[in-house]
Amino acid sequence: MLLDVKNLNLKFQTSKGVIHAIRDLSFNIKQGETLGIVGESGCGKSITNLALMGLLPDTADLTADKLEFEGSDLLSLKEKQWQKIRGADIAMIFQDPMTALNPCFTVGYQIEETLELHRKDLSKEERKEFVFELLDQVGIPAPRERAKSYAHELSGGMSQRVMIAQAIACNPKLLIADEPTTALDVTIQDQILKLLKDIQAKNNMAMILVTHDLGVVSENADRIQVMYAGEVIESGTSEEVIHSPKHPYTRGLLDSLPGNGDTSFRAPLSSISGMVPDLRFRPSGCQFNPRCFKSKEECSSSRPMLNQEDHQVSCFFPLSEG
Amino acid sequence: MILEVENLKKHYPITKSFKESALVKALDGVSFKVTKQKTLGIVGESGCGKSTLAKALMALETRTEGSIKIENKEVTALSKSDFKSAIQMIFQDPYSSLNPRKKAWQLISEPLLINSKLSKKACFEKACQLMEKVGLRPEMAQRYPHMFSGGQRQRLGIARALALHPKILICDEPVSALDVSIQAQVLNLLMELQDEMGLTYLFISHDLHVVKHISDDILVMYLGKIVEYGPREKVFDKPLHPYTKALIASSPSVSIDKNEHEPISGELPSPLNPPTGCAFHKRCPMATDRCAVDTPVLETKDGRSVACFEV
Repeated sequence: MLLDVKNLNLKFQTSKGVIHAIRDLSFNIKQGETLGIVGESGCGKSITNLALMGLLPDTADLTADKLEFEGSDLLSLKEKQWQKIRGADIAMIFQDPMTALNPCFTVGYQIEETLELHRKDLSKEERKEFVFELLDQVGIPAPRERAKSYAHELSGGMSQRVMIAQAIACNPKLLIADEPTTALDVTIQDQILKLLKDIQAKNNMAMILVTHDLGVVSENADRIQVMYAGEVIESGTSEEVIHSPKHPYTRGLLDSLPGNGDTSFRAPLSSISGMVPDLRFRPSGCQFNPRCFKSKEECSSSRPMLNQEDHQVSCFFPLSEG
Repeated sequence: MILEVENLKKHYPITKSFKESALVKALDGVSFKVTKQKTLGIVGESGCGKSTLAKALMALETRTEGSIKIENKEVTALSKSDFKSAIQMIFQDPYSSLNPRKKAWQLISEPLLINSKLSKKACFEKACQLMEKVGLRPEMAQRYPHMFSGGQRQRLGIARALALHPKILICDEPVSALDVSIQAQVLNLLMELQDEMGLTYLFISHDLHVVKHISDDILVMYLGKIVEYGPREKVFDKPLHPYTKALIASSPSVSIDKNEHEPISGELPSPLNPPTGCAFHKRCPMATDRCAVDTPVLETKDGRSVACFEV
């Protein structure tokens, strides 16, 4: 097991009360695997990633029964120790490549910075060569010239390639891609996803692919977990989750996609009524029960837990197959 | 024909001192027609001229050349208020398109205050009716935009666009900033309003599934030019232009039959320095020597227009 998370809880103390952003989150990732995390905005996808990178703000209160990376505990790490892991063993690609790169430095320098920190065995010249090699690997034409350019001189797709080069510079074991293609056009998105897949296969790297686009995860992830209001509500192989969803929320998300469900021209799309709950005032019982079409009394009185089957679901009345 | 656009061009001059001025051809000879109560879907990558087209139609940008006719009348001949009640627009980002210092009813009734002689009280009542129409409770009229969620804000934007009873509504990526479940609600609302009020939509989106769901006709643009234009069944089910094919292949879907395909290479070329011949030839898998020299024109083929030599 590369990464093992058990009962992770994350709370924020605010002036308007405590926000319980992540509740009892458990999951794991094996080497070389792609885990897709989907959910609507505000469901806790991004903050989970920041927790895994040790990038939480000071106001966060993180507790967990287990948070292990390659068998070593991440919870007790000090900032200095985090710095050794971050960028070397666990790397991250951010959503918006235009703002994630520093506009004041050349992209070559920014990639070299990572190497300078983590690859002490390389000399300055070797590092420079390695940067060109990396840029070439991520499919940037004329890497020697491009290394001298600044972020504003590159297109969105090119900037995202630079971000990927930076992330894979130290051959990480786990790559967290937080909405890596949301800001890009479809044809460029296609290229970037293919590139990530190739790199992953070559380096036997595990990847967490976070996105709100169900199409992207279904085509690229081995396993999918669906999050709602800071909890995992369904988890399974991408086939199981996409083609025979068990949780009413997953079903609802899939049905509301145009081009899925009733595909006839101008057919009304089924949608989930209501809105994501305010995390300061969580509903009692199942978090989804106020919006759920199958909701019964039991749903608002007690809280369902993820069952321990291969295709996990946290629902008292899971949908049957088909 | 409610809207007829002929050979619309928008060129931006780039002038630098001591240098020859260059032209960015953001729109280069775009022509199309829309019938009443139909939807024209406009797709293409960023920088292809979709938004410039919307702005030119709204007269937010002056066009360089071409004609725009609404109900057979040239728009320049229309009076200001006639023009404004003929065509309105919904914007992409519901967060930045609403003035944070105005209350919901003020936002919605602003077009009325400017273009009609209604009293403030009548405007307020009209705004409440409009809010009800787009699925917002009229009690919310006194709230400020930050008190609404993204989906509700987009409904406010729609209510504001409907205030003057326009005939044509330009929707510039109206759902791309919204979550899927909210996106479905807003799309349903747009379809209901269309049937109820007899609206004509120009629907701009980069999400092909959304466009396919609600558009009667599809217009595919690349670097300021139309590459394929025709009814939805033709363009989506049997695309002819290699760019349309690539767009459809690369848009991710949740369907069971996973499409195995090679992504097309390269990126949208710079409009400052467009390639010679067909603008797509450098990325095109079917390109021949001729494509680099001659520019293909739109020709009718199999029930749609397409600009390519190789089909």
